Amino acid sequence: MNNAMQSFDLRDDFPFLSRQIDGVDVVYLDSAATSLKPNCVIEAITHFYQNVATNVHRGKSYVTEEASNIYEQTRYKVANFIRCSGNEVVFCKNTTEAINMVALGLELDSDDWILVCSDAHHSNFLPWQQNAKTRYVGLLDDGSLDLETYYKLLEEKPKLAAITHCSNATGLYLPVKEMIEAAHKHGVLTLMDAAQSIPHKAIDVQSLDVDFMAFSAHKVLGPTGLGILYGKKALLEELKPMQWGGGMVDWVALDNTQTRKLPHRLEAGTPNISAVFGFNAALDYIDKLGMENIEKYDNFLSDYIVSKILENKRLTIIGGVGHARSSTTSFSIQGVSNLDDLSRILSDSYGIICRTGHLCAQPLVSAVAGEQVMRISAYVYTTTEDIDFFFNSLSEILDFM
Amino acid sequence: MQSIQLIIANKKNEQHAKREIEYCYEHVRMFKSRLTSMGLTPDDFQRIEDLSKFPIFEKKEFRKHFPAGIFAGRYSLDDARLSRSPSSGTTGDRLVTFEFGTLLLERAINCSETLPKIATAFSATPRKHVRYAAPNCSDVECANPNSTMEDRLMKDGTLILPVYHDLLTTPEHMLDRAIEEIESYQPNLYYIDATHFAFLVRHAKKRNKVLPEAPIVATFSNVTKIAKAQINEMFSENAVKQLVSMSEFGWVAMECEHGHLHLNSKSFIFEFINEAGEPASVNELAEVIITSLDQGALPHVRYRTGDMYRLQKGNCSCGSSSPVVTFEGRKSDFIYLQDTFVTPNDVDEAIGVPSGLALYQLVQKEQTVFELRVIVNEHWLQSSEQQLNQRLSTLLGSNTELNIVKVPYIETGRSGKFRTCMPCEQGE
Repeated sequence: MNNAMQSFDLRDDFPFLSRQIDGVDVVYLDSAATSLKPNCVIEAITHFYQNVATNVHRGKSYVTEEASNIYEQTRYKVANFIRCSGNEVVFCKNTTEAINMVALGLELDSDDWILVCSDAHHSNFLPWQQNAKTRYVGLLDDGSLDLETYYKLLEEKPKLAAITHCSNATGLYLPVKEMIEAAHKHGVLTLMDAAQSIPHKAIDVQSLDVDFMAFSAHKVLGPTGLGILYGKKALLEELKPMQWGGGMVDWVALDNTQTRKLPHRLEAGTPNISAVFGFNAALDYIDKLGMENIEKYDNFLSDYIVSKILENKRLTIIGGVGHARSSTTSFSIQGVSNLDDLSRILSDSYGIICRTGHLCAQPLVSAVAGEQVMRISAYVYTTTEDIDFFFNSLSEILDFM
Repeated sequence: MQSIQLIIANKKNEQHAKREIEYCYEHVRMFKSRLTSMGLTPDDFQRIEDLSKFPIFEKKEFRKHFPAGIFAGRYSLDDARLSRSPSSGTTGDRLVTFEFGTLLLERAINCSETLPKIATAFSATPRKHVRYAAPNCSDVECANPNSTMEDRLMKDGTLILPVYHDLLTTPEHMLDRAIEEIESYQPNLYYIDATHFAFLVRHAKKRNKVLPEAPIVATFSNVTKIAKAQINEMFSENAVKQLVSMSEFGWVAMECEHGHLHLNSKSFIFEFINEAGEPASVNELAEVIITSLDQGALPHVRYRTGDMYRLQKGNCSCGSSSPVVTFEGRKSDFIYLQDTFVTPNDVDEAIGVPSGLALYQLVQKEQTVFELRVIVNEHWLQSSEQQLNQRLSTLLGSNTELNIVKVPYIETGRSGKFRTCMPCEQGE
């Protein structure tokens, strides 16, 4: 890092940033959807297919053991990353699957109900809506969560409170430590969607005392197709596996099956091994950058983006200002209700990749903006020049709208 | 300084070495083929000094040629006379070795002459040993939480105690069960990995349990001062004795009552080769090369162990005539700095036994950037941290960066063994 308030100077590590669209360099501002992948991650995936190739935990061949070693070593790295034990880290497909594993695995009674927050991504909304009785915490006028209602509803003892550390739409962080502590006071379990916070903030699950946490590797420079479910050991032991099959059992007879110990009892079938190899490299890369530096830089970019939005009178920031937020920020545009055309122009004429729509958080976006919003989201490879270019380009287009 | 090329117990062993070479040439395809390609025959090894002409063999060659190329005869793998010793390899370099059980027993008895109480316990009947160490097979089959004591009781009277592959994830109920099984079995010998057993001992203390007295031999991986102190605290001042045991050879070296590690020179010939590949001097850091002498099922001549030692000068006050060495660690665990390196033993000396420290691991993140991961308890003091920082910084050099990080968990290697030092890969 050149210094805390300048960029990391990582562009050479991310091959996608050399991409051009019709001769125009791309500017990538959609990291909340998925982060770009550094060369080391791409190489680790290729290395797996070129040199290792075998399945994990099956058979006794030398390379199978090599594959299993890296696979389990990655689990240990994840455990160190979020500060838990290795057997509290379950590999799955993505954040969505991780949350579904809990929603289905808890085997909820008909009396159980779940406290769901309206700032949630659909991943932390629909698994509950479709599998349990739910009650919702609404939003305040500025798009932030109505925490007063949250604390009040806890008194009515839901089975679990499903919370979101950082909104994928507003980028706002919630005071999760207090929210978890309050839930536990009422004997309420907690599940935290950390998909949008884990790229930007060091998370210590022990200090948070969260019961379950879910995130995806691909938001943290890793490959797609790999999610992580963290759970306290005792709770994971109680979780009914969502899927049954190979690799999760110690013994199978015609009338009796004995599942393996944690975490393997929750990992049925062949996993996404190449993605795990890739994530191993991603975690090393993150470690070299240092989470403290990443968080500092994220705060800097977040302030920079907010200041740029506030400079333009036609833009209204979603979620208000003055709250802790990541460098993911959405805004509505006065006089422009359909943002699809705008998004296409930004992409095709300026090479800018950003996001418009309801952002898989329709209850929030509908309540606050009523219609589509535009979101830009940055990460370690983003520079202030990228952000300046985006806002200058937007102004130029808006002169025609 | 005198160069130490060979450690040979006596004239008889010189004859045995010559016979071992003849035996290998006649019966072991890998050896014969290599000697032939070099234009050598047993006649070229008339004097013991000629051993240096014999090529040095590495683990991977034994893995590659197993079994047809390295067995000294057509033995069946389920031959009841043979004992199977699988090694997952601390750094993933695995190997399976077979040897006659009688020879392994003889080697163990020779080795334990250094410490008669171990020899007595080892040959006591009925044999009641307990083993607490990493399960030596993959996660899939081993450490099954539902296995019973009967499932884990071996024919030779060794009870394998239940433990998870990734030690610190072993659930409390399994630790309780291991303690109950020890109480019920009343062992006459503990055969343990010191880090693993220290973990069990810490749990026993938490439960206000006292494990039954019996001699303790610590093998499988480095015996750290901190682990030794934690175990001794429950047993006695001098309870834990280090044993260097290799799956290829059995018992190779044992600590005496006076705290010194003695080579089993009665069973093997040892060579000390320094970093430059030359015969090492006394007290010089050296890799040990071992030659077996007893014409076994799977003989080894000039086998490169990857284990690093320093040979000490003079005789031990315990009265044993076996050479004294200090074990410095696996070569693959050495931490290379710009102009020098430090060994796991150097690190362990610098760490010492600070109050409140349960477990540590030194991670070299870049050549000059280190993280010391520590698991501590309520007795840990801020001043301990400062002293530790000072001692390690002195060891690693003033131009290095060291961060001490308190963590709730440190993973074992995939072999199930702890590595106290995790060097960065070369070029990083």
